[in-house]
Amino acid sequence: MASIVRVRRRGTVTLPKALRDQLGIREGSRLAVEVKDGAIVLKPLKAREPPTVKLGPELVEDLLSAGREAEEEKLRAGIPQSPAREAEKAGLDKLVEALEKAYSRGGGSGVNELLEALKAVSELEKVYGFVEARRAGEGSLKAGGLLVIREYVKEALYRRLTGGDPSSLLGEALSVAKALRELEALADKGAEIIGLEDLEVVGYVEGKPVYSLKRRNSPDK
Amino acid sequence: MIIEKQDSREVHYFYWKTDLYKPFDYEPVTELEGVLCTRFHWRGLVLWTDPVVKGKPLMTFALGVHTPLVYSKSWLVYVMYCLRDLTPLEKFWLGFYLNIFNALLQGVLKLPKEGEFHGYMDRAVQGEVPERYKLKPSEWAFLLVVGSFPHPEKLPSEIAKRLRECT
Repeated sequence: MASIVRVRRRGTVTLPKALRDQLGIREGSRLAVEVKDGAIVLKPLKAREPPTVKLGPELVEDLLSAGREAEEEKLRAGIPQSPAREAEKAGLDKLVEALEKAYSRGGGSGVNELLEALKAVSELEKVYGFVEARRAGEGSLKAGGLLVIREYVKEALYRRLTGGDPSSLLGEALSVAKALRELEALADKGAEIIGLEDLEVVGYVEGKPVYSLKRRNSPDK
Repeated sequence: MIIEKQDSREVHYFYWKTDLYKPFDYEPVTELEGVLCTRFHWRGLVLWTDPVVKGKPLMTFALGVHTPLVYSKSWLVYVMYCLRDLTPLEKFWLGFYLNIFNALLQGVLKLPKEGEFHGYMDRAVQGEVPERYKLKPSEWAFLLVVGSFPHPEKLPSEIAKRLRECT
């Protein structure tokens, strides 16, 4: 008789124990998944055979190929570069470029350059809006940074139109844009990007709360 | 680096004249009653309670982080607010800085090897620090402690006084 399982978050299902025992499936076992005639078929993969030792050029080729496989495995296991994340990076690069162009002209930055910077902000806002499943803390930090840039560039435009010097505002907007790019680089290295919402109260001094990061995994410090 | 005498203490200001996007920035480092202290983005103050000491505490600057990073035995970070209504810009920079500490804590970001440093007194020059850039330890909107949080009675007196004033 067929067992019935429920699909949970992100498509997770639990295979019935009797079935796992019957086929020797344990935690970490690898299964091939395919759709056949409208059914999902899971096929346990055999454990890898221990490598046989070869000598000479064959051994060298095997070692090189093993190295390539390991590198490919690492890449596969790395942070997925979703189209949204790629679009985010491209948008940030464009924004930094536009701000650099406007800032490099100092007090003489033209209205068109400032409008270009605003356009780059708007485009990036759309990308941020499309990024799904963004963690609240990360999302609010990045959206907050983008909001700051928008307001500073708008103010710079106002100053430019009223004969003032927009340099300091553009400099600040540019440093925030570069910081957003630094955050992207940290995320690429595997860092979890956090926001102020990710702080929690850990005690009180003079009746005032002391906050700290929720996660405190410090393996080597 | 410019050295300024403030009452009984010295404040060392690191500054850049020609940085591409943050010119004329001054980053102060000082000692408040035995606790290393730096400023973060105008209204943030940082106390470093567990510095790595090799004769003297070691510090460095990291790309994109315009404030001194003191080598620490622990990258645990604590935050206290004097004013909760930080400006959007202050909120962003505080969040950014927390990510730097989080990355250091997780080992994702690593500072250069400690052995490469030799002190910075050869960089000292004479000069005046503009008034608006001067360090004022009793004026901060948020306080960061990196390392272990000190017993409240052992907080530097200016910090404790400011805490009592905070709303």
